[in-house]
Amino acid sequence: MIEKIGVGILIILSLATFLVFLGNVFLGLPLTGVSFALIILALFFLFWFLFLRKSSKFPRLDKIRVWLFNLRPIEWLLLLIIVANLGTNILMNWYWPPNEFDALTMYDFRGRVFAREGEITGINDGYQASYPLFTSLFHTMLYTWGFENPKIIYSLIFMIFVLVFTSVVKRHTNRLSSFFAGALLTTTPLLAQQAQIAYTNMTFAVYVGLAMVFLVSFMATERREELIYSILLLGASAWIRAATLPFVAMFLFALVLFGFKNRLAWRATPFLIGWYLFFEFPWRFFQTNILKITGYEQRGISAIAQANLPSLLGLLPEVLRTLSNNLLYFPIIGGVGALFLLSVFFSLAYPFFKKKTEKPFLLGLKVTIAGIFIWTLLAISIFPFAEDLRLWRLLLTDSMTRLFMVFYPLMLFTIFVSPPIRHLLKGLEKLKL
Amino acid sequence: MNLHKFTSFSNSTLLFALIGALFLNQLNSLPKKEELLLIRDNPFLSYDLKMRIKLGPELYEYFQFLQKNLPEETTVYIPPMMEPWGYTGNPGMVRYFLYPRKILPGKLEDKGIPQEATHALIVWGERQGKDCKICGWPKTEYQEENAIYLKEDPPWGIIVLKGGLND
Repeated sequence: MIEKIGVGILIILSLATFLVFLGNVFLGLPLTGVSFALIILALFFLFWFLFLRKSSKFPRLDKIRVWLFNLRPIEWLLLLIIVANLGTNILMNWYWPPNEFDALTMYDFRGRVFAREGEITGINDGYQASYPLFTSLFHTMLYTWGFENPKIIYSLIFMIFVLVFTSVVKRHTNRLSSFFAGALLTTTPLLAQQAQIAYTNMTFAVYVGLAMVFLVSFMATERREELIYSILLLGASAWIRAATLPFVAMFLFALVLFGFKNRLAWRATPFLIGWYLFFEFPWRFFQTNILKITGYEQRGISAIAQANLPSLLGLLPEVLRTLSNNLLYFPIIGGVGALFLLSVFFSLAYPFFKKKTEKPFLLGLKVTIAGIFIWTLLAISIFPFAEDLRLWRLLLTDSMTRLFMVFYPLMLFTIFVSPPIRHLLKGLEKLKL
Repeated sequence: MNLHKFTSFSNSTLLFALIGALFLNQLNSLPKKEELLLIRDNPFLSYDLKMRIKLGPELYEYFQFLQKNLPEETTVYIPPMMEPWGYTGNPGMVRYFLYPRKILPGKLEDKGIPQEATHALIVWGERQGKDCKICGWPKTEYQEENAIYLKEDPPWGIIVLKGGLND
């Protein structure tokens, strides 16, 4: 139920802002508080009518109380860590208005201007046109509803992230493991920091990160709804940052291979492509034909062609250093990288997995490694190193580190469903700590 | 070492790694104490005061001064995007505070203030003292009687070229 409601809210947020965008750009409907409210209410009603109406699994207050009283001390401690960190996040987002560089020059600027003008306008350079409008439009939504500070919605997204992730881990392991994984996710420094600023990185990591976890989980459980959640989240991420395409390629590859085992994966591929294009195509059309701004993000292959080999080779140490920072360096990712290596080590120590429940570990590991590989290639190819080496270095180390956040949930999931950790935490459970 | 002992040893190592990771995570993601104290002592600070804290009083007061004085139908000539004008020379940043006014980015090699500008920023340099060598914008001559100042030493203000200021 937590997963269904969590994914439902994330999809409603994406769809509401996207439909408002379509309505304004293509039909001339105004961006007002009423139009946002109507569309959100309509989508929530539809969601309730289709998916929640017949459900009887809503948790009751007395059951929650019993559940809380049954927690062990160590679980209480982990729950406290999760709640305290989410509380801090809410406090910071409630208190501080958007004040970070890119928030002021782009995301919040667009949100404020749209709210003031009642239409999508004011985007007048390639920089502002290069990122889709999802977060800006939910700023607009809250401004039109009279909020002075729209950042509270980032807390909602972060909270859903932690709850859904913890719930998925719980299904594959036990309560203690899921609390441990949830606490590690909530406290991961870069995520925690990004969840307090009005950038798109955390939101993108939530959508793509959860999509990856659901995909790997589906491959173990073969539950249809997990595949649907995964595809819904991945497609909607195209409305957050213009970086979804390599992940779509990765997912298609995984689905085609998995289709030999379960035909459902094959049947899902047109749905994935269609859902992705549903977000991607109108946005690209708007960029090129209405804003008439092109070229800002279209460097890729031509940049490689222009670069000379010595300068490319000269950048290799930079690439390796960024990778090693992300995989090994504790302060940057708060131990997730080191745990990733540990998980590889344990996969070698337990080479023969036969139980069905152990598959997510191996699959997760493969997807993570493939993802990091694809991401590195992408990072090398999309940035304009032929034009400005210094800029490229800055983008590589800064942006790539932030974009690596999409792999955190899968890394943690991989570790916590791995046989050694599962056995270990089962043992801890018996100790009644 | 037999397999059982190896497994037990590696499991303990892993448990310590997990606890260590959680501890390090928490240590690195704790909010700053001063920030929490500030929120405790001033829970309902105004938007302007919060932005003043985050951007620095010099810069935020200057943007407020511009908002107050510049009419909406103006084209504002700003410094180039380089140090010491990291914020005041960034068209995106200036536009955030001055929208819907138009922004005209300047260049160091400009011979004069372009014709289309109705106003020009007078910006000494962000976080710079009077001894700063490259500070001071605009680099061209302007008539002192057309300038109004937020502060004069070092100078921060506006040059009115056409159209006047808000009352």
